[in-house]
Amino acid sequence: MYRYDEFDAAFVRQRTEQFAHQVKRRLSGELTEEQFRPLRLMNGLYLQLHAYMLRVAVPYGTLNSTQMRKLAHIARTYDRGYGHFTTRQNIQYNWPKLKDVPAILEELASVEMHAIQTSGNCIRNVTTDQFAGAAADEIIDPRPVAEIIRQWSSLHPEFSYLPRKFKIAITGAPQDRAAVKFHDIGLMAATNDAGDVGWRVFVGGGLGRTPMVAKEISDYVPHEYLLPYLEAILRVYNMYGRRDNKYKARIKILVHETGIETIREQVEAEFAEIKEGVLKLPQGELTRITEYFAAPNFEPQTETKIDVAQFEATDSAYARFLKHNLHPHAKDGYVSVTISLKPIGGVPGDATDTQMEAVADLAEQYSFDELRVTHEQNLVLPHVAIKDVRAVYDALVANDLQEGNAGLISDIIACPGLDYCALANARSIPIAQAISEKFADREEEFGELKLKISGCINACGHHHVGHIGILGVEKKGTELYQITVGGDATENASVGTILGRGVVPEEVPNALEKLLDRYMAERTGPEESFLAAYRRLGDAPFKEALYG
Amino acid sequence: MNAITANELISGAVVYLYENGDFGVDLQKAKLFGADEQATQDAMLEKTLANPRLVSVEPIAVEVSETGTVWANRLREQIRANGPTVGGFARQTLEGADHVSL
Ligand code: SF4
Repeated sequence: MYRYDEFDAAFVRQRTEQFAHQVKRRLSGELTEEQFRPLRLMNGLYLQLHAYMLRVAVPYGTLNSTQMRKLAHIARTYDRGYGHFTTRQNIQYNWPKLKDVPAILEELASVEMHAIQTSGNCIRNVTTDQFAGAAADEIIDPRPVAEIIRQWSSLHPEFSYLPRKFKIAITGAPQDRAAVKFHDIGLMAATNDAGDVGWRVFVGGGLGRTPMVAKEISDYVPHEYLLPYLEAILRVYNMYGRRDNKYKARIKILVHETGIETIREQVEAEFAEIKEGVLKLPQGELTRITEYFAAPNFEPQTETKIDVAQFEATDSAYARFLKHNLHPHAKDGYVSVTISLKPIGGVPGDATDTQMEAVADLAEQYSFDELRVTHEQNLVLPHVAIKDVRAVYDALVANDLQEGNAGLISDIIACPGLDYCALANARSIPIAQAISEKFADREEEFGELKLKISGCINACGHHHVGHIGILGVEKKGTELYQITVGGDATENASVGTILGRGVVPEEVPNALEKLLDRYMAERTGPEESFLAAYRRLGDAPFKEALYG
Repeated sequence: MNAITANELISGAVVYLYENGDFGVDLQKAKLFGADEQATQDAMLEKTLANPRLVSVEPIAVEVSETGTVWANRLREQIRANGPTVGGFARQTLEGADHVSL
């Protein structure tokens, strides 16, 4: 895992001191709210409905146990004993007090963490596959490149005031688990004819008010030219992106309105200018960063398989956990373990301080001190020996983290919605809770199903790319929920279709039951997922099921 | 009818303008402005906006029930007044005092 060098440490320390000073000036009245607001946002501090909210960056979702323990300590000492893991692989605290924020940032800096660029019109935290560096299907570990992008984009003077926020996702595997086609820039590992690994580059994807699947702008950019290529894209965006209308300011609108061919020409022209300049990455630097992410010292394992069937009769909860929460590892005898933060009826993405500490202990004991935060609001122990899975599971049971539901209907992405968020139109969390309770006994029956809920059109809950998506809207003072079907965040990206008029909150679980009953009746067999059935059948049967 | 609400600077807590001119966390104690009191409301709003301890200042529409309970009209404001509807969390409290003086 990457360790700060002197430059990183000094930069974060200076920024922490600077913000402490700014808070002091605000509290003394020297700064007005108008002057202070952009400063606090640059440090990840929002003012939400009930209190401030601090968003802490977890670069490319990677943490070690010391960092996780620090996050637990902050939750306990300065907040209300829990944190909320987000769809950008970050963590948010919902109740910090302004006077405590400098101390929190100091605590974070002591473990090489911060909240810089988690807000504002800049390049945000780069996200990646939660199984990066572990997955069996991976071509290359994307984290060294993600780290290089982090270093390049942190306080980049040219890109600190972009037309709008800018999000980059990267995956090293052909199966896209990082939703790269719904980012401003998406990177996918690719191999050229000579067998060298580089990057396919997608541009102009996004969710929000105008969901769009990103378009391929280059089918291969070698490592050494990736930064100049990204810089060229950002320059074109910075130059031509709209600043007159917030809703048209993301790069997806520029790409859509200008056309990918023209954008490609502009980027290529810019790229030609800077290609051989200071951003060209020397192999030595790539090797140096890659060494931080070297694979752990895996020991040969004799146990290389788990017979799930043997537990089905005697310990069905464990069997379910084995079936859904383990992911194939590149190394024989190892798996990646998803720790679900979606207990039935719980708040998606929330973890208490004691749970965070328990997970840190597990990482230290069983996963080479590595942890991941997923964009689906779960945690991952990336490298667990198969012989240790039972011990890990037992520890999870002791901490109420044992839900074997990864990828099932109750593994819901839900944004904070109107219970916390100042921009929300409707609540998300109670809807998620009601759905997970309603289908707790049937979720295995439905198989893989991605359900995603947003409390407003900003789509932080990724509802457009849910196999079933739910969007909360406000109509005449009441909450209504629009249901979409057929969204997909993977390499086969698609945006969901709205089925029709919204339903009232109490009716959402029943509406979903109608859709799911129809799916069960129409599917060719258990091997045909909800999404596959939708793609075969279209939306007509689902519309009919919902509205008659 | 309207009430005036804000968030307190240090804690971020939701507060309301009271009859006595202080800001506190209880909507039931809020000073209510009728439709014919627009000028008074505007004057109080201006005074509130000038107070550096209060941020996100705005008037909100409220109703009073037959039993005298004050209700915010929008769900958003009901949630601000009562706290999140999930998780059993109490509202944010003010830091070191029970009110902010205007
Ligand atoms: S989708 Fe809307 S309600 Fe949900 S967190 Fe984002 S801005 Fe808030």
